[in-house]
Amino acid sequence: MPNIKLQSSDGETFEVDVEIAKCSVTIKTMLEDLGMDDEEEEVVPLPNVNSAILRKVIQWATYHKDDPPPPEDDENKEKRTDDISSWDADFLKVDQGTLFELILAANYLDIKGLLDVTCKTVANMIKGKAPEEIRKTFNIKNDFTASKKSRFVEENEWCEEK
Amino acid sequence: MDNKYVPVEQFQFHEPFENDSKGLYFNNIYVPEEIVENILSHITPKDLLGLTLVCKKWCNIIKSDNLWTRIYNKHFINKPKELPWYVFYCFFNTNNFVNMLRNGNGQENFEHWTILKNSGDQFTIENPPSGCYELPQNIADFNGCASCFVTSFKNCCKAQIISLKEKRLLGYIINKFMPHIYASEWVAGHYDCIYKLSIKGFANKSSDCSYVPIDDLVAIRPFHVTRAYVMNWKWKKVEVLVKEYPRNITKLVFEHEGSEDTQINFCRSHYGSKMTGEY
Repeated sequence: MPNIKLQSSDGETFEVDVEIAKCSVTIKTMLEDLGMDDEEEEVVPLPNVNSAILRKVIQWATYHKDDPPPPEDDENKEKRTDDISSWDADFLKVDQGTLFELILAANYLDIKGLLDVTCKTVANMIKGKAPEEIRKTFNIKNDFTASKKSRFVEENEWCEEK
Repeated sequence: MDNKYVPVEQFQFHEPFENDSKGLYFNNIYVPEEIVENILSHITPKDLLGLTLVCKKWCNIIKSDNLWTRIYNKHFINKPKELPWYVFYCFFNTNNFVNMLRNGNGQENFEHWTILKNSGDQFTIENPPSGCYELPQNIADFNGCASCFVTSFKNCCKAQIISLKEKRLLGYIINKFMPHIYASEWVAGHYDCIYKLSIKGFANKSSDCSYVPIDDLVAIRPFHVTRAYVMNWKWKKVEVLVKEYPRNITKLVFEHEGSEDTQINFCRSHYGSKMTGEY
């Protein structure tokens, strides 16, 4: 099975099975555009991903390499946010910095499955929290003035359905 | 109590905040807006409104059409129509604008219904229905219920009033977009008998009075659509679509009636009706 070399932003090189690397649409397109399919000694530079994150991404992609392609959504099908497999949940038990780096890497590399599962993980951190707790969790600055805020609370209450 | 809220006719949504990129930082890591959208799209639609209070940027994202298009496409394949965010918010929080009617099969006895005429042996509930064909199988309208309302050998009529007073946002949307109002129900009869289904709307002036039946409200009843059918043993789905009606509807009324017709015993009405705003 042919391998491909991926180089992280800090210069580390990872040798990966081409099929695994191709779960990244970005890499897949790059390979097709450059016609690198048969050339083995090419190195693909990934200037936006550092080695620690790239290692995690490869670990994820290797585990999920045999996953069937995501099914077409059925109409009326309810998706649930908590449908994160236990392997993924363990895999994503990382600090917040790493989690967001993974999101950015998944976005840049265009790996939909990884992007969705990481975003879901963040969504689960948001769920059930009051705005103040959310700000604290993610270190977000409250930029509302008190009067603006009460105007908003009113508007939200107005919109709420009985 | 009512004064607490701005009347539907006067309500206005605030403008989005001027664009700045604050609020896209999660613990000092910059996260592009589309990723924040992806994250928020996994939150239950009902909870999203509360998250507008986190910061201005989140508020803008949550009250944007992009986020709701994304949420919509998680549930449905077809492309959503171009509508403002609050239509989608309302859509997801009102069971997709469907089933505004409650207790459609008599599963909760006569709860939510107002009985207007109860002649003869009066309304009853049967489970399962007798004296007619079996209910068709696997009809989503029934929500798994097998019971039904039954009128007697004389005229029986009842109605369900849907007040939009408490449903401000829905009222706002109805006013602004004038969606078609659709109602349907499944009906069968013992012998040939006449069945009537009416959809009525009441406007502001009548909003204070409780249900005033039939004809004395014509002046303040801005629309009234009635369909009459002759029913036999076979279950039939009857449908009414109201396409045009005046603004400022405050109440919708779903009224149905089974009346005697020479040798008729009773008309059986009401299996899982729904009322929906369609766009």
